[in-house]
Amino acid sequence: MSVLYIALPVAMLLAGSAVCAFIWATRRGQFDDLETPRWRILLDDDPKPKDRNKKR
Amino acid sequence: MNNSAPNSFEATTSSSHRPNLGCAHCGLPLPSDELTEGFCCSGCQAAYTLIRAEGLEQYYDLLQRMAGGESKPVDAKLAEESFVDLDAPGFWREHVVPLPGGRVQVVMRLHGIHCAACVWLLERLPQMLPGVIDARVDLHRATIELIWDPVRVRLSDAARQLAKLGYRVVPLGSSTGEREKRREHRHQLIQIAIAGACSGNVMLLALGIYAGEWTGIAAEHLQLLRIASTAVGLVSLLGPGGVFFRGAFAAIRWRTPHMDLPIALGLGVGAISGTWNTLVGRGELYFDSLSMLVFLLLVGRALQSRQQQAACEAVDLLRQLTPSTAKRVNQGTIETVETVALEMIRQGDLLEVGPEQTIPVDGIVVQGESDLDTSLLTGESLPISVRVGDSVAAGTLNRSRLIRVEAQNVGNETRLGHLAESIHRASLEKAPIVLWADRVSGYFVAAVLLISIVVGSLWFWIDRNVWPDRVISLLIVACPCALGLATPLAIAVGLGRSARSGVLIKGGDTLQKLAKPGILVLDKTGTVTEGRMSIRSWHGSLESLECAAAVEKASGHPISVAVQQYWRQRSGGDPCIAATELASHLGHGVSGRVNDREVLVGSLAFLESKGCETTIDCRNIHDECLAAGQTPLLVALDLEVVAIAAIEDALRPDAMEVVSRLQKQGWKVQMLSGDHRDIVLRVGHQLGLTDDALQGGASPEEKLAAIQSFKKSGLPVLMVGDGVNDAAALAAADVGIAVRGGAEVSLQAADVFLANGSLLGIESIMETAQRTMTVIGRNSIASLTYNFFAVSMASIGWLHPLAAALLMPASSLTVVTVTLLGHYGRTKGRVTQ
Repeated sequence: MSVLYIALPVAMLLAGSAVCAFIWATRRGQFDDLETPRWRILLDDDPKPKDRNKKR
Repeated sequence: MNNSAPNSFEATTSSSHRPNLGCAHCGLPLPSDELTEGFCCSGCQAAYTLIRAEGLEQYYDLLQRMAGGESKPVDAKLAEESFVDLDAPGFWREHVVPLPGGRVQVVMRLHGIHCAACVWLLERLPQMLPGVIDARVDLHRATIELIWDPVRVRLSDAARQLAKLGYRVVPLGSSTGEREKRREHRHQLIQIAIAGACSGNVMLLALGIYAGEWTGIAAEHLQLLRIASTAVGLVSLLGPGGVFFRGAFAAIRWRTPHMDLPIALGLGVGAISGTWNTLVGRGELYFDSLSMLVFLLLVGRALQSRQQQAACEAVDLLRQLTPSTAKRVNQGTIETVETVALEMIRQGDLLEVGPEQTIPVDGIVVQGESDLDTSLLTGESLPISVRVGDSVAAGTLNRSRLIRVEAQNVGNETRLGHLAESIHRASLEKAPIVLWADRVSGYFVAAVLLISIVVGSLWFWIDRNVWPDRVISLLIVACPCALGLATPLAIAVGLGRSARSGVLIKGGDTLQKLAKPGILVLDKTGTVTEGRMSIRSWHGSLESLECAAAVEKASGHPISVAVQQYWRQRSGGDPCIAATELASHLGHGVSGRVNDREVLVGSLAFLESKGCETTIDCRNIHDECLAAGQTPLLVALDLEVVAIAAIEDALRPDAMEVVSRLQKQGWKVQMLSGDHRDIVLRVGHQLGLTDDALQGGASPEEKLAAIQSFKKSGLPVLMVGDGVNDAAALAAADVGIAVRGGAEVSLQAADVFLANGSLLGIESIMETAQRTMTVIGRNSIASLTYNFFAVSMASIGWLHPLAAALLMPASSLTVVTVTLLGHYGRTKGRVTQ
C-alpha cells in the first residue's frame, strides 16, 4: 500500500490542475455567456477575426 | 401558430411587397408552368409552410433587409435617430476601450433582440458596414460588443445601421458597474469550482478512511489519508468558505442576526477540532461534511443572486431608453439647429422639440403651439394644449407639432429631477427587512450555545474525559446547513418561476412581504386602464369612419390614433381615400376635404362653431356619452353631423376580475390617480370600489404622502403604477410594482416589474410568494427537526461520528429535494384543476 504515498499526491495534483484550468477558462470569459455560442455554431460563415483573445 | 396551412392567397399577399414577383420562399423567378402557385418548386413551398407554421415569418423580412431591398421601416422614429451622442467625448471616456492597432471596443445594450436569427443578423454587421471589425452578441444579457476602426467608421453610423435593422443600441448603465458584475459572476463560479473539487476529493478520502476503519488499515496510511483530508478540507473552508466567516463577523459587528453566524460557528468548531484531531492522530475529522456543506451553500446563494441579477438587468434595459440628446437652436447670423447631449444644455438655451419627442428640460414655449401628453408626469390621460408663454415640464411628450422652448431648468433642477431625487430618498428610507431565517438564526445560535454549555457541564460532572468530544460533536451537528440552504434556494426557484411568466422581481425579500394580504394601491392610467384612448362605440356609417380616419391621419393626437386604430380594426387596412386641405384646430378638432366634401371631426362646440346643424338624436347620443364618462367625437360631412364616436381610456380586460379576486383574498384595494376625479370615480365604480377607496387629482407628492399614511396602519403596502408620477410612491411603498408600457423611472423605483403588462401578473406574484414562503417554512421545519434530533443524540453521546457525517449532507439533500418538488408538485396540481 505504499503506492499511496505516490498516488495520493498525483491525484491531488490532477485535481488541482483541473481546478486551475477551470479558473483560467473562467477568467478568459468562457463561462460569461452560456446561451449565444450554442446558436452561433449553427450560423454559417461566421467571420472569425484573428485577435479575439488578445483583449481580455 | 394556427395558420399552419397557408393557402396560395396568403402566399401571394405576403410576397406582394417584394420587388420581383419571384418564389415566395427563395425569390427565384417562377417557372412558366406554375404547378405550385407562388413558389418555384414544392420544396420551397414546404419550407415556406414550415417557417410560417413555426411563427417565424420575420425571417422573410430579415432576408429582405439583408439584401438591402426596399423594406418597411421597422420603426420610423428609430430609423430617424442620429445617435450622435455615441460620438461624444463623454460617452467615449466612460464606455469605449482602446485596443491595440488603433481599434476601439464598446459593449452596448441591445433593444429588440429575440432569438438566434437576431444573432445571425447582428453579427453580420462587419459585412454590411466596412470599418466595423467585429460584432459579438450576448443573447442572454442582450448586449453587443463592437470592435471598430474609428478612422473608417463612426459609432453613430454603426448604431444607425443597427437601427435600420430594427435594433436600438443604448449605453450600458455604467461601464464600470457592468465590469464589476462580470467580475462578481466569475468570482462566484471560481469559488464554487474550488469548493466542489475540494468536497469531491475529501469525500473520496473519507471513503478510504471509513473503509479502512471497517476492514483494518495500517496506522501510517490512515494518518496520511487524514492529513490529506485535513489539508483539502482547510483549503475549502478557508478559501471559498471564508465568505461565511466574513459574514458572521459582519453580523456580530452590526448586531444584525444573519444565517452566516450559526454556519460559521459550526464550520469553525469543526475545522479547529478536525485539525486538532489530525495533529494528535485520533478522533473525528468532519472535513467531508464541512466541505460539502460549503459547496452546497455556495451553489444555493449563487443561484439566488443570479436570478435577482437577471431581473435587475431586464429592468435596466428598459430604463435606458430615455433620450439623452436635445436639439439646440443656435441663434447667430445664420440660425442652425444641432443635436447635442443633454448635459450641454444650459439655462436660457433655445431648444426645438419635434412631434412625438420628449421635452428634455423645464422651460417656456417661445414659438409654436402643440398638445402635450403629460400622463407620465401627472397621470392626466387627456393631452394639454400649450402655446407661446406656457411653461412645459421635462419628461412630457410633445404630441402634435414642432415647438421651440427656452430652457429654464435643466438636469437635476427640473421637476423630473426633483422627483427622481425624492424617489432616491424614499428608497433609502425603506428599512431592509430581515428574512425569517436570518431572524431565527440569532435565537438559534443562542440556543445552541446554551445547550452546549449545559451538556458540557453535565458531561464534565459525569466523565471528565469525554466532555470536549461531546460538546464539539454537538456544535458541529447543530450547524443549520439545511436552514441556510433552504431560503436562498426556495427564493431562487420562486424568482425564476415568476421571471418565466413575465414578472421580474428585483429582491428576494419582496416575496416575503407579498405573502400576506395588505393594502393594494392601484394607479389608474396605464395600470387599471390601457393608458390610451380607444373608440368604445361608433354611431354612424363605415363611410363616415373612413373619412374621419383619412382626415385624422396626419395628426399624432391620441384621439386621432384611436380613430385610425378603430378603422384598421373594422377594415383591416389604412384608409384608401386621401384627404386634402388638412388643418388641425388645437384642442378642438381637425378639418379636411375628402372627395370634394368638407369633413369636420371634433367636439360638439367645435362643429357648432363651424356652423354645423345638430339634431335632437345627435345631442342625445352626445349627452349619453358624457354621462357614461366617455368623450364624444363628432364627424360632419358638408356641415351635417353623420357620426358620433364614444371615446374612452378602456379598462384592461383582466382588471375587474383581478381586483375582485384580490379583495376576496383579503387585500384592501385602493385607487390613487393623478387623473380627474370624475374619471377616477367612474373607473373605480366599474371595478366595484367604493368612493372612500378612490382618490383622484393626486400630484406625485400627494401620492407619496398617501402611501406614507397607508404605511402607518402597519399593513404591508403594495403600490402598482406605471408613470413618473408614481415613481416616488412606488419607492416608498413596501413593494412597488411597475407595469410595462410605463415610464422608465418607475421601473427603477419599483421592486417588481410586470413585463407582460397584465394585472394577472400581480396575482401570480402573490401566489408565488405564498408558495415560496410555504416551501421555506417546510424546509425550516425539516431542517430544525434534523438539528433537534442530531443535537439531542449528540448530547446523550449516542451519535456515532459516522452517523453525524451522513446526517448532515442527508439533511441538505432533503431540503433541496423538498424545495424543487414543492414548487413543481403544486404547479402540476394547478394545471390539472
